[in-house]
Amino acid sequence: MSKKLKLVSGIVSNVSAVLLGVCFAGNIMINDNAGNINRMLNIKTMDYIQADDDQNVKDSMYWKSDYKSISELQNAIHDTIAEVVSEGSVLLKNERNALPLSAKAKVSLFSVSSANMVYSGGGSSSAADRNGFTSVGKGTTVDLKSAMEEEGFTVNDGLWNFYKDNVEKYRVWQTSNTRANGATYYVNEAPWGVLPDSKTDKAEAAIFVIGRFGTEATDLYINTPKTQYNLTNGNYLELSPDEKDVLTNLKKQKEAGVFSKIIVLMNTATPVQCDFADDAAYGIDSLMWVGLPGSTGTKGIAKILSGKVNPSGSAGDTFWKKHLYNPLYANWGATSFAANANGMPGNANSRTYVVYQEGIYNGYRYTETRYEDYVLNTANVGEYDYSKAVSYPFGYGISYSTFEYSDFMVKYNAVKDEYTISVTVKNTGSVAGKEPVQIYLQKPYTEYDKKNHIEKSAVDLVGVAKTGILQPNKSEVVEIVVDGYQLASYDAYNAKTYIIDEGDYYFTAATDSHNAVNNVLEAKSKSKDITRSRMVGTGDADLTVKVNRTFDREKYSKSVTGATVTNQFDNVDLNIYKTSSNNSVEYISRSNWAGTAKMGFDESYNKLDNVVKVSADDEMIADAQPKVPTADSVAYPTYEAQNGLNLADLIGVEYDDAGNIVKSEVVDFNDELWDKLLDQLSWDDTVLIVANGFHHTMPIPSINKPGTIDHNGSLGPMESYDYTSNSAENRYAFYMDDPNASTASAQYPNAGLLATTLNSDLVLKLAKLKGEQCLWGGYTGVYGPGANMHRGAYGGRAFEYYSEDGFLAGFALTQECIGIQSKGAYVYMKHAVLNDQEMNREGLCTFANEQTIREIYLKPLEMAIVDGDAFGVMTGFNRLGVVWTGAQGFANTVLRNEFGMRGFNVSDYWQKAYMTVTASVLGGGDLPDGDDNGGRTSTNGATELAKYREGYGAFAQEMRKVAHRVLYSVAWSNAMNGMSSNTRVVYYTPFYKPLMNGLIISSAILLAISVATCVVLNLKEKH
Amino acid sequence: MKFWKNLLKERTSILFVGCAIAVLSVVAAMIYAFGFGANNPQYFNAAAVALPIVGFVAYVVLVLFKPTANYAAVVLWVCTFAAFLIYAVASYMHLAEVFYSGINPETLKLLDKGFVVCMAMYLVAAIAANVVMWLKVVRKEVVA
Repeated sequence: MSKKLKLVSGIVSNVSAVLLGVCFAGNIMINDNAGNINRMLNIKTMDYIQADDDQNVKDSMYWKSDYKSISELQNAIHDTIAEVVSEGSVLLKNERNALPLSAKAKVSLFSVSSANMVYSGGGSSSAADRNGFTSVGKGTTVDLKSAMEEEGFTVNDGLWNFYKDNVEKYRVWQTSNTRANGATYYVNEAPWGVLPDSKTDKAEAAIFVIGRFGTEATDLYINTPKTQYNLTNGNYLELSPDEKDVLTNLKKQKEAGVFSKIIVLMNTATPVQCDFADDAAYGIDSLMWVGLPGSTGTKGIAKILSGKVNPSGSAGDTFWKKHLYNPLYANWGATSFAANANGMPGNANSRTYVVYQEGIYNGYRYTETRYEDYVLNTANVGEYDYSKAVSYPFGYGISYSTFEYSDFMVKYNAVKDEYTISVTVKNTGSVAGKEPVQIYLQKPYTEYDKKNHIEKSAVDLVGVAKTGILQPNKSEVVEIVVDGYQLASYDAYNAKTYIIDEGDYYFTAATDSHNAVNNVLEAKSKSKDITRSRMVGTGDADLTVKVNRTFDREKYSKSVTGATVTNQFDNVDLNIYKTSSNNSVEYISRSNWAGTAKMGFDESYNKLDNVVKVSADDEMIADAQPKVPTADSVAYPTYEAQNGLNLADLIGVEYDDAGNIVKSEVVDFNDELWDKLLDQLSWDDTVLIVANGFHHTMPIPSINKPGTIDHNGSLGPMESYDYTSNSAENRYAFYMDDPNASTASAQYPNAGLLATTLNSDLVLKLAKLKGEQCLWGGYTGVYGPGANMHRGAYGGRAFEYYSEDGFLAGFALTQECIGIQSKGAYVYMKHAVLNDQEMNREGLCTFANEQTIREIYLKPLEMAIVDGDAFGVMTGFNRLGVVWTGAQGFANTVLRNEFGMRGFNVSDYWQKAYMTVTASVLGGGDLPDGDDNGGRTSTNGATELAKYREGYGAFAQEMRKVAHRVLYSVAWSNAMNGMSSNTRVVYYTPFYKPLMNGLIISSAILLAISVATCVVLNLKEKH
Repeated sequence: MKFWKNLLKERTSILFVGCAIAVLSVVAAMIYAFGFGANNPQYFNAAAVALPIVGFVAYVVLVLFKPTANYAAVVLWVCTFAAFLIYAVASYMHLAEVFYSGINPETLKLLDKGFVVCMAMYLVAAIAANVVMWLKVVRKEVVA
């Protein structure tokens, strides 16, 4: 008996021990993924209890929709996407008026990307279905053939079917993945020899689509040695050998009379190098950049091809003839520190760096400035062949019509400090169309600048607008207001603030950046010798106005908020941030082009060793450690006061006679009511807010704050309208009981396509629809829009960002933020700041000078916050200098103090190896994009913050400030729909949590009993 | 010398199986510490490295002495099983990350070999230690 009992108790103890271990580990995993599990099982975790149901809900709809149903909204979104693509696509070349095509023309679509277009990018910010070729709303994606047929074209079926049938074998494939450097880019174009016989069917046009992908976490290949990816020179943004093969054969067919035109569509976020465009080997008649068109953008493309829409896009990037002529690539990617970086917190990525050695000379600021200096033959300009470097300049774009500019005028309003610029635009062609108008400014490059290392671009874009549809021979006077602040430059080394230089400033209206420089050169030629033989193209001095200014270092030393503007990035500039390694950088300077602008690659894209060398040292490693607060005797905030306030009480509401809301406004941020509400929070409430932010903010029952969904992505909301239906009671789809709540999101075009429209109304229109989608789908915060820059063309996430130009990016970003926030969803513009590449982004140390940071990379954020009241940012994975962005402090010193940002920030995901909640609180980073419940995204916030429960009053006050910003933003937002003074927020515990706890306890008891039995029997046996 | 001779005489071959398991779990821990875990600190937990080492040392020490020899495998199992669970909890998100785009030949290529090897070795060690725990390591005394 005892033997049997011993055996049984042994087996039971073994089984229960295994069960205990598995349950214990499983419980951690379940808690980590509770959100996903709740969503999968449709488990509700939070609810609002209304005191007086219907009446209460009716009276607390602060944010209302302009649409009656999801289907109505979706139709509007799809129509607007097509409109954006039709206005944003940039016609670059149109020989012999090859476009538009004849009505009902027969066309043959060539290339794998014609049948399998790149509709968007990959990663967490795209609504792609994770392979990028079709959207989440698969039923709504319109392919190029369908769009062409809708416009009356006949498409070659044989070719189309071939590409469709062979999609697994031939396509521009990548692995859309968020794993560091984990994606693969290659171009498996079907060579001419394998195409079916229908390739030589007679048609008016052969349309060849060049498709290129991009995704989060992996930059495009610029010189990968992996030749198996079918890339010429290992360069993803160059035509592949098979693409060249097809284009060469198309030319032969054109000569044989099979086609009369060869049209190339560039289906990319950033430009493929354009050395092929005028190559006689290919005989290309028309070239058009169409971006990544989203769900229905192909309709816009087809309308341009048919001539129903006259193209009016304006290039948002320089279209290089060869990217290797861009000196920026000498310092692109990630380089290991020369020495002593092993103690840098984080993984191997943290021991690498990138230096923005080009300074402000990104894109056209390099090509056009060096061009002007070459024409003016300034000292040390070196040899420079503009035509060899640039195919189509920034701002370029042609139309089916022609336009003429005249009556250029500039008026200064000293009171408002504004320049009102007007120009008359006349349609001199025979087709109606819109004209994008660009205003550029040239600032003087003075001896003061040279002495104090201030750089000046030959021209800066400072204003954009678009005419209405102009009929032939009709004119429109376009007025653009330029803020006087745009004339200022940042002086990081002497005045340490913005200055106005003494000298002549030139405003000009131009068709592109190159034309702008030529206009200025013509104006200058009246008083100065220029080397005309070096000019490429012509200019018009009548389209310039010269303004003279005297030196001023006071006027812009105060920001719009009244804060003093001074250096905040000294630890990011290796010429100021001095440690024992004594690193330094020779930034590209127009005073010495030949000596400072060095290339990154030779003609075959072999890497040249022109990278800036940086050594790490103990001081840098010490600076890189997450900050911790120091003990003090500062008083702690009041906790758990009984003031009887709910978050909804902080909304001021006006009703009409029928009891409907006519106006609602959140109580001013500095109102004392906020203090009373904050006093009600407990320490634990504050920790709950501060330590949790993974795609949400936490519900706080003590003040009846609802939880929120704050989620991807940067192009627009990417989930269905009932996404995580258990945790967003505010969604409109539920109020309206819409039967299409499970409808998938639309896929929006890449950000660049919005910028290239130069049409603020249109950008705003699409952004409002994104805001509507947030409202209907229960998104309170959007992790977007993208606010990084096209620093070169190879950024994996360039599809999320607008342009190489800070002003153009800011123009589009501002409208996007206004539109999205118009429906009560706050934005997290991402990723602030200098997170312009994917290579080693998780910990990469980024270095740049303050002028560059402020004038180029912070510019979009500044414009969106100041002009668009954008609420918040997502900080970058990267470091500013050696300090993680979320802890560097610029969120407080610059975004809040100088720009006036009033919302809160979130980190980019959570890497506990170098991010801490404490450092984030101290540095203005606010919330983690992680949760306080274990697993990879664990913040360990409660444990970390518990150390500061006593004796760290100043830190506790900082925690309260974070809570204040979060509560203020949520009170302002659509999360409050349905919430009134009488609404209570309640939590539900999902059934599996007590179940798991029960299993753990029972298996532990079972284990204890069986082990005890074993021991007792053993003892008995011995006796 | 006599001690070792007696030891080999008094122990069954399970002693060597147990030693092999202890070595296997330490090798897994080393691969984790210097390979997969070092390259991916977000998936690293030092306890999953320390426990196999503790298990190895404890097993070797306990198995030497007759009164404790039969408990050596129990301790080894506790350590290897706990190490396996801690490793699983620390690193399972790698699977979610890799198969974010779905499970297909392309994403399978992204699976870290170090992760797979560690997972397999930890698991085999835990299961084998459990089996060994039930087997006698001390030879029954033969009465002449």
